[in-house]
Amino acid sequence: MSRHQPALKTYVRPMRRWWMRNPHFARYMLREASAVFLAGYAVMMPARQASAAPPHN
Amino acid sequence: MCSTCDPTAAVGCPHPERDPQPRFQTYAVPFARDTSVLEGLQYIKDHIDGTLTFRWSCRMAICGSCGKMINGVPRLSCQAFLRDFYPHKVRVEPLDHFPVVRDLAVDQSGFLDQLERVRPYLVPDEERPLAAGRYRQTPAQMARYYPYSQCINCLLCYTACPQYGLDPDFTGSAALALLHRYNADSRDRGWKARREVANAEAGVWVCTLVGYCSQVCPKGLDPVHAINQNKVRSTMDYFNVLRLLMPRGKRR
Repeated sequence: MSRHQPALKTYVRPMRRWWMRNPHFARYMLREASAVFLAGYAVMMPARQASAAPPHN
Repeated sequence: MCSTCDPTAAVGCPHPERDPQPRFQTYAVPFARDTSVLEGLQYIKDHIDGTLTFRWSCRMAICGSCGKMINGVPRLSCQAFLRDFYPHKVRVEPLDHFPVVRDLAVDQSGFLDQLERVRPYLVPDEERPLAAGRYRQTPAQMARYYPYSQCINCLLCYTACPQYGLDPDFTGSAALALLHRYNADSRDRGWKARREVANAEAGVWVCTLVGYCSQVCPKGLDPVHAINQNKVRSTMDYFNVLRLLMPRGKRR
């Protein structure tokens, strides 16, 4: 915040549900959410490969 | 297009001293083909409501004073034309994320503080006497920083940045783009002083690449690219890469 506080009373628009204000923000949130699926896939893939690998003699 | 059609401009008028919540006032504004939103606001001030408060100066997208939210999009009001919105209403609001002082005027002192912190001027290694002549640069050296020197401090990128809205301590895109402008300048050696700002908690790492700032910039700057380049530099600082590569210390 600024070290110069305004003498007048001010109003700041709240940030509630900001991601719904603009299609660009909605796309950004979708992009961020895709990281969850990517992380899940990254965890699942080695686990599945390990289970599918033939046993060593 | 007729010269006196009747589009209406809904102007967001938060008056924090008087009203706890913002209210919208609707005005009918005549317009011609070349009437900008700023001229519409000037018409309202001159003919309808003399108390309407807003910033403007050059009317030609140079000064960066007249930024507003126009139909929810941060734009310079001198660059937006009423004809493009007709027959719909134009909704004009003050810039998001900044404290509204009155009507469409916001308090910019938070940004000015951030700007001061990044030292937006050349910091040379040592003072050169005038007799030493001019600093000379190649076109390639100039091309590295020139695009970032076009910033007009209009604050549209701050308004477009949800991170700045969520964390007002964030240094912000324009200030960080200017920080990069001087870091990328071959005449400047100010990174030592500026890295405190770039590497700080409220520095480059707050940016999460939303990228809307680069889209709304009226001068076509790419602040996200500038911030990313400083993230690389910040990482090198963290791991002390330069010291590993040059163990004897700084370059002479």
